[in-house]
Amino acid sequence: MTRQIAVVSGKGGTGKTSLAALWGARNAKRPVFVDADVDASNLPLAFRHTLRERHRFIGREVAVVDQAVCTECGVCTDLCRFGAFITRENGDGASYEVDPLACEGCTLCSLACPSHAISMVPHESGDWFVSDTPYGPLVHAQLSIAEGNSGKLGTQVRRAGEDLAEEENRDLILIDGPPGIGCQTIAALTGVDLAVVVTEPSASGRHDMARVLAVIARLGVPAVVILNKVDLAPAQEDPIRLAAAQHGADLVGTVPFVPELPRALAMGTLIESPPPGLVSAMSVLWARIWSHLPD
Amino acid sequence: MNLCVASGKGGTGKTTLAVSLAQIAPDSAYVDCDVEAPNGHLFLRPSITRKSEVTRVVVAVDLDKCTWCGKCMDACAYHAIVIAHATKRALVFEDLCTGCGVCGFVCPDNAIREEERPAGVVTEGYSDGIATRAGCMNVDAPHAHPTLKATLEDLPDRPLVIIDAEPGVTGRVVDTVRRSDVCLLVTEPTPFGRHDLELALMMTRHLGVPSALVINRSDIGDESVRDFCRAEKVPVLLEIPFDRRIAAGYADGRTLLEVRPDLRGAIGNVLERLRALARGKGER
Repeated sequence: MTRQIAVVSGKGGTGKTSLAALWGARNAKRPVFVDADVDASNLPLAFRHTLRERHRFIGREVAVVDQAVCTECGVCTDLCRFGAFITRENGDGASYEVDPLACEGCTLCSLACPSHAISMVPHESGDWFVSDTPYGPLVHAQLSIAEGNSGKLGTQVRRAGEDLAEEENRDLILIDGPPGIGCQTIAALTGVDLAVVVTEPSASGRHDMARVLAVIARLGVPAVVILNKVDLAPAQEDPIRLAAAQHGADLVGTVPFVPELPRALAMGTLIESPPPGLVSAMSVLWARIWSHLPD
Repeated sequence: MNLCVASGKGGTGKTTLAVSLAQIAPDSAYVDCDVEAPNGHLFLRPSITRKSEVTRVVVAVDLDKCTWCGKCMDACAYHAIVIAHATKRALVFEDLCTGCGVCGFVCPDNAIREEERPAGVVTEGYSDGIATRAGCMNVDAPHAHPTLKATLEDLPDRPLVIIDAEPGVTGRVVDTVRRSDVCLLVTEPTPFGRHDLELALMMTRHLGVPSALVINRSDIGDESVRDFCRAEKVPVLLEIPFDRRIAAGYADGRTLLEVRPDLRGAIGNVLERLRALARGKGER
């Protein structure tokens, strides 16, 4: 049976990606990696990897106005709830054009246009990739700048990860999620077996952890909390443990602050020779995470 | 001047810098646009003067009027409506509904009505002389953008408005940066920071918003961010080396200038150089 574990945080910069990379490469058996932060994808930077496949991502259709047919009546812009029409005054009338980034693809304008001047066309909003790492295949993506459909692309990389796990008979999908609690985070968490919330010892870390735990609870997913960089503010551990418990999650362990980690990442040595102090902590934590997976 | 503080990567110190900039300028406003994970209030601790609920539109099917024709279901691009003709049932998945209005447009029986659902809260207040505003999406809302939109509406009328953006380069961040005269990008000198900085810089350049950089925890990682800035001619206004005192202060919700008052001059200099960048844009 394939298990899925998603690493999320609420707050950005708590160490999700570094920890996920280390767990997946050093502790997990035959994982598929999924980088579900499709906006700022960083998991591929943690590994040597070679690109296996590239796919264009068409998340929706967007409206296009045929200027030769348009009678400039303005019904489209009056009806559009997303403000997607750009109006240009020209002498005695106005021309209407669609901003594809603002268009949500609802089709209302194309249905309402009395002169049938609006059609819906497929819109590319990013790419997704399959790469090979020494530790297992990695599905990742890059949403085009200014796009909003991150949840759909997140769902796409999740599906591709599930397909790969089945094809290659791999029994763990390790998902590196985005920061925040919005649609992209929901896409990373939906249907996973366990959420691992990586937080940091700060008021912000605790605040955002509580918010993402509320989302996780709403999705019916069990969760555990890992407190990273604990020795930067050890007094935060108890309040974080308490806040986690209030949202039904156990703080299952802590990771020390390792000042050498960013340099090891930059040198490309993080996975093969992690800074001392990290190795045993990571193995212990992985065992605890694994023990919290529901049967 | 609207000054946006943004970053590709999360957790680089956006809020730390945004709060510091708001604190050194008289008559400033601080607007927290990271509506998924807003944290500025943990440092500014404003007294709240106003709370406004943000709502979003979802549809409901009026069962007294519905004739189960299914036209709404066929027209919905988000698969948010299911009509079961045989059992005379209608189901709306509110999380999928965008309130676009297509179903109401195609319904021959006038059976679609629109309802409002809570999406978030915008709070306003004061912290010393700083006018504060923060958008906070509800944890049970499916989307962040209604709350962001409300947060960005009618920005406070102050000579300096600091806008704290969410991480990344999505459409929401673009909507935030677009409202600004100048953008301060905050990064850290790591491969992740470097990668996401490149995306953020592409975004600000695309929007024509002048931008400059602060490198936070500047002595961790490597030289790649600095090399990138030299190659791309991005001004680096300040480097702040890693300091356990800053990290410990941050943990307790103390601001950078409370922990390191010696940085006041350096932050003031960052603000002056950003003002000059914004003026330069106006002159072009």
